[in-house]
Amino acid sequence: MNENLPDDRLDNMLRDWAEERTVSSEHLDNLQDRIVEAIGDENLSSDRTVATSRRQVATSAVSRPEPPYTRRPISLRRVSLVSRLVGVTLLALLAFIWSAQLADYGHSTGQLADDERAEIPDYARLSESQLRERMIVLSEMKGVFGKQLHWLAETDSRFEVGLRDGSSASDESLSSGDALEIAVRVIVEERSSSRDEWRRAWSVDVISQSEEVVELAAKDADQSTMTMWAYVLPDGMVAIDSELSFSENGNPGTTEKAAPFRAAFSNVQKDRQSSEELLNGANGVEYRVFQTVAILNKKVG
Amino acid sequence: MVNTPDKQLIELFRKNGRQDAIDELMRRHLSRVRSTVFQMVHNDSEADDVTQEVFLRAIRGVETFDCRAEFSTWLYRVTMNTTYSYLKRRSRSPVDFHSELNDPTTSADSSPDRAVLQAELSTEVETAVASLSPTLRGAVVLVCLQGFSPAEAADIEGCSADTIHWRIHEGRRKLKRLLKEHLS
Repeated sequence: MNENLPDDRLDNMLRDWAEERTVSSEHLDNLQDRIVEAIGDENLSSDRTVATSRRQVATSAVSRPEPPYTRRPISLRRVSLVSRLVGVTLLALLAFIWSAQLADYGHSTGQLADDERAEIPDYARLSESQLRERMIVLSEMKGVFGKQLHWLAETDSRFEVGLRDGSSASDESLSSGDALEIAVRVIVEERSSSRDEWRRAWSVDVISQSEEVVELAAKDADQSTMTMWAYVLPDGMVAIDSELSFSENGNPGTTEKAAPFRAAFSNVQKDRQSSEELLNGANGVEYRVFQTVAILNKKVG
Repeated sequence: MVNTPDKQLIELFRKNGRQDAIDELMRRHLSRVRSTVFQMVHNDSEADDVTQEVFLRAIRGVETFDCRAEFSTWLYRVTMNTTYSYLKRRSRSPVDFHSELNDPTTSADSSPDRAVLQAELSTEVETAVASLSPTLRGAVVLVCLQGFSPAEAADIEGCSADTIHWRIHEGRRKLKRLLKEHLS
């Protein structure tokens, strides 16, 4: 369950802003006339009766309902747990385990739709063998960290384990047996112009549990950050909200400087499906972002 | 016509071609749709354009509306989808990733002029809202500003109520961080 208590001061501030930016009734009248005209231009009503003007319609105030501040029993507990996460950089041994699997890029046998195969490069996908390997790593990490284990992530240069502190470790941890575990691969590529080759600017593989927030926080000003939240919908699709950013020098694992990047994405994807986003950045730099999702303990293994 | 429920107006348009039924629907919903769009795009001219597109899309697709559903939910689903599509197109035009929010601690004018201070606060609120990702912004706009319940917002957005709760929580958390000088 979720909890989402209202914040009166913030919400009042937002409503004051919204009220201030409300347009006049005259503006709305003109807009309605414009839309009626556009409808006529489209000939949408060619077989209808002649359009009437808005002024032929009796006017009455269009009321804005008061926000129904629900006070549901909650999931703030879950979110508060996130705030207590401890990001731990593991030893080279752990990085080696996972990195050895990352070397598998390019040999994917991902189960993507045929029409996607031409669009999504193999290294952006999560193959069955990679998923099996991740489950092994996950199992090993569960053995080490138990209920404190929250998420696993590897960027180009860092392997991180998200841990809860001991007091907050609960059944919601990755080590709980029945929760859905999700693997997500995000790859950001960039090029200076459309004539150049794409080159990888950043990548990350994450394993987390459905509805858990993963926050890869920058350890200094030059490093990347990512916040990601994935949720398995009742129909088996996976909703993913993610925000990525890195600064000019902040592409871990790469020696070349890249342009600053900041973007937010929200997708609903099928299990094992990849998505692609194209973005234009400053100074003509182009980006493309691949995101692949897989439910680990539903169909794999 | 003024007291006719939305669904009956839809039927009047579908079966009898009553354009005045569409006019009445537009009169009822235009203000709220337009304010929703504005709160997402933060530009009056763009808000007018997107609002027009919303109603054109709605009329084009009115035959697909299932009268068992709530018309307002359907219309606001069209509104949000149209707005997200617009924001996506806009995001593909060149943007300056260096642009950052004004620092609220330094941008406030020392002038005692209340109107000036209020205008600056309004600008900071708008900038803070604009910094949210479209989906976080959408949840905040629908629930906190437009008064939809999380369940209604979930129906509009095509996601679970849990997802909406999370987005509102995250949106509020980020806004509070950005506006902390004014909230303390």
